[in-house]
Amino acid sequence: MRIRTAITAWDRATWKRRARLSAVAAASAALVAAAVPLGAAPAGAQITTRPAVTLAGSVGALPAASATVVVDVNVPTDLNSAGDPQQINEVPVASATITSSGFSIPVPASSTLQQAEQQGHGTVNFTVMAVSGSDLTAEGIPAPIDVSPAAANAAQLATQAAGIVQMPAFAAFRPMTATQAAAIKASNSAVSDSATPNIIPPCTWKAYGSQYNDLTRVGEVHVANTSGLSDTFWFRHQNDETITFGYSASNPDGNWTGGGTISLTNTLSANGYHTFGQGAVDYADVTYYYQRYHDYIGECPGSYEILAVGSADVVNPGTNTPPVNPYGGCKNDHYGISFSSPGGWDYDVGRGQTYSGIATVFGFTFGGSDGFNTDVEHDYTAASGAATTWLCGSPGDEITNSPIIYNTTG
Amino acid sequence: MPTRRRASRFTSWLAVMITTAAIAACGSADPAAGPLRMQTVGGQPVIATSFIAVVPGQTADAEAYLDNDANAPVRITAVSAVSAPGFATARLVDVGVATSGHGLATARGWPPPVPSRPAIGADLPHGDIGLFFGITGPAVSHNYAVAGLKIAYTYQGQHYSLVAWAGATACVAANPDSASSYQSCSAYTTSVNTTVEKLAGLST
Repeated sequence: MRIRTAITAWDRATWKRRARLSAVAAASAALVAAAVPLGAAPAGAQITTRPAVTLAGSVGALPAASATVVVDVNVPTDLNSAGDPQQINEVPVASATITSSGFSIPVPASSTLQQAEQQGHGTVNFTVMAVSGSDLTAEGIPAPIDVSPAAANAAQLATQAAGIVQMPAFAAFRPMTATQAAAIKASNSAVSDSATPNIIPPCTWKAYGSQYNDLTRVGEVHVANTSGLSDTFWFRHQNDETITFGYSASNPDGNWTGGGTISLTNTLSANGYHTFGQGAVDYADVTYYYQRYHDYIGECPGSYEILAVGSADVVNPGTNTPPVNPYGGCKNDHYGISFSSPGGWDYDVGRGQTYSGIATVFGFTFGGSDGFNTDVEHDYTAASGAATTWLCGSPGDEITNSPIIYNTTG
Repeated sequence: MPTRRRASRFTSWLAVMITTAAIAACGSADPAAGPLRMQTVGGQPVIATSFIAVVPGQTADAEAYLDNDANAPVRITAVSAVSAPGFATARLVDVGVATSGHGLATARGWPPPVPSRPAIGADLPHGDIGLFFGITGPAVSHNYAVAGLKIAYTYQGQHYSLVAWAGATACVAANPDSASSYQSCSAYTTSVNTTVEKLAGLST
């Protein structure tokens, strides 16, 4: 069952009241240890003392003496018939005031977090935004909090066990736009007139323009050039796809900068395949749905945001051709495996390859990886009469640990 | 090199020994706590399901992917077939350990076409291990499958066991190179694979 969310006026008022209370505490603490969770949840929500997760990292050199760092939970809402959000609420759930680049912010359990977990099948997309003086920076990251062991990969399980998400480097601080500065000034007018705000308001993204579908690279296929050989590439979307996204300060059609990564949290079931025949050396593409969002108020890290919001269940051969096996043949690979006919080899667990240019939409080039997953499956078959061929993985990798599988005649 | 008849007798004897040893090896306090495990990718077990059509008496060869976590070797004492519920269970004929790095997707006849040594009594060093196995079935025009292998082994004097999921199908046919036997075998194995994935916890 899909859960719909809308932040009501009551919620927003509650958040602002609690945020102000938290801001007082945050202002009194100058160091990382002063991280204070915000009460984002409506009254009555259970908030435990043990954090659900701690986000840690570095925002880089501060432009001013201090910075306010706020952790937002991304809550998709107003889903369309395809299950894709027409609005994304970034709800503050924790904050800290820092005087150096490092931060470590515990995020408490809350109903907001729980809701995001349910929508994301245990994974929550966070945005961490830092404001220092008149500059800001932000970085998005998915955090596994309650992914079921059957669906989780090792990295997710390790993160869940440790309870800490180490964030990658943030983009350099950039000047706030006039609307951003005004929105933050308004939020802080009752609290402080210092250069660094204590409150960063919640942010609401609304869908801008129509959803855009584009073929997106998710893998590659190599089939020996021998009669009777084929590989059926399966793609099962199970919330393991990590994909970059972008912000633009002013232009919905360009000037994008990387905003970090998200985990696709659409609840659509995608389970597609395509059979590649003799001699195929192709990328495998899946149709992804992309959506631009606009911040009409000025409270978000950018004026526009571009995201992948879902995927379809159709696999197609992609454009261009991936590099062929570097050994000249899998028999030359120390880890090559022999494949005789008439038979088949169905490899159930794939390690996704990371590609830097999986799709370019409205001028933003996405990168992504299907991670360690059970989403990609290769079914190689050798029909009657087919010559024995060889299978292998990337150089130096056993085939069981390789994001790419090659099939060659020798 | 043994003649085919001697080899056949030997494999029959070995199959009995494998089964007998598997039964005898059970009984350690915590048999699953040993260092031998399935290889994993991203926390999920590495599983491949394979099929091949064979003539009567010929083995369908496949591979299970193991990992010895310990720095000291473990010794395999017995291996037996694990049934795939709902499918005729293949007879496990022989088991070998990969010795060259090369592995096996599918092959017909034992020994497989890549270097191996007998598994029973073999000491497996630390790291990834390919365990080859050959299966077959008695009746022509019938398909047989296993969901994996139960492996009994010793480590530092203690007895342990492990179920390694590795789906494999032997489709016994008078003419295994016919298109019909291939298609029948492929469809049968799709169902076997679904069952193995469930048994291994990869799907529900």
